Amino acid sequence: MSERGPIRGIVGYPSNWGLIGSISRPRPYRLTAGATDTMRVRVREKIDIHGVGTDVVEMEGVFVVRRDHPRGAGSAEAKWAEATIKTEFRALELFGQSDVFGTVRVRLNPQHSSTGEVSPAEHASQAAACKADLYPIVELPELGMTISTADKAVTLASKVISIPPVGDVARSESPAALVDERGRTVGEIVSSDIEVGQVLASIPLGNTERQAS
Amino acid sequence: MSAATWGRLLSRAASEFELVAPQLADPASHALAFSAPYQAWRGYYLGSFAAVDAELAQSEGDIPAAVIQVSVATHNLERLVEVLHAEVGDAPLVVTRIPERLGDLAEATERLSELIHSVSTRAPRQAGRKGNVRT
Repeated sequence: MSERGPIRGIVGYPSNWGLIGSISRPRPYRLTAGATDTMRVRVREKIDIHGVGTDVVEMEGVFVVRRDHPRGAGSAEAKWAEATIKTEFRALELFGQSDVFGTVRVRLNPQHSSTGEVSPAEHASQAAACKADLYPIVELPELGMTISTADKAVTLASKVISIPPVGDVARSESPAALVDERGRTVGEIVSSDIEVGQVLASIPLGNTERQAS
Repeated sequence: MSAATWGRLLSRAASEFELVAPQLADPASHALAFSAPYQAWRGYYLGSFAAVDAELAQSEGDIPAAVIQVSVATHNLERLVEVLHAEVGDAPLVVTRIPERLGDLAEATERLSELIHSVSTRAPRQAGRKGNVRT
């Protein structure tokens, strides 16, 4: 147990369970036009730093993601659970406190593009498959460390019934090595579990293709 | 579709979920091979729950918030089961490097059990945690 109390579970945003009443949520199973969304997020990461220790770190913050307009297969009209939506993460800002590492901050690595995709659902399911390849930088100022996953993304996936995915819980499947600024492996992100909260702002994309004259 | 109709539709899923939930949530089951709970869950997820979800996806009317919450929570639980199975395969869950996910599994299963019963017409087999679900 942490000195700050037990780490809370990652089981979905409180509105999922009726704990904070209803929040604005896009209509489920319907496609929505592309937009750049800023969303609240709560993250639990298990981080291991060689020679220092392992801790489960709870963080809160926001991310900004641009999602394109949905596209159907070929010339087909885009439909829920059949459409594909490309995404690009423009920003991620997380903060947490660890008993082992002190302050922990996470942001995106500007040397890599963090992208994702919402793709058709598994057969017999109505949930679209949501996947994101994120390249984080982890700052541990009290240890004097700024570390990243270098060329390896942390892949997060979830199964969603609305876009933007309010209430979604995305989880990693594989660990990712952490390297320092000289390229030495100094630890790893063992796991990432992410609870997506409400939309704080949404800016529509409008037209994204040249109009025929 | 009325709330009562949704309730009847969810009742069948609720009765099947009652059989699956203890296999996921009970810490004693985490010491046993994960193959049976995993197969039971997948059978539920792609079977009786998928039937409810298909009705939800086709619905043109307003869907009660609690019914949407059941769907979101079920798909979130499916992803949790998926990552646990990817890590441990058919071995017992207790071998995981990420035991905090077992806490998530127990909590999410318990809460989903309460939620699904709150909107179904079927009475829960046992009382759950109080005050979690406002519908």
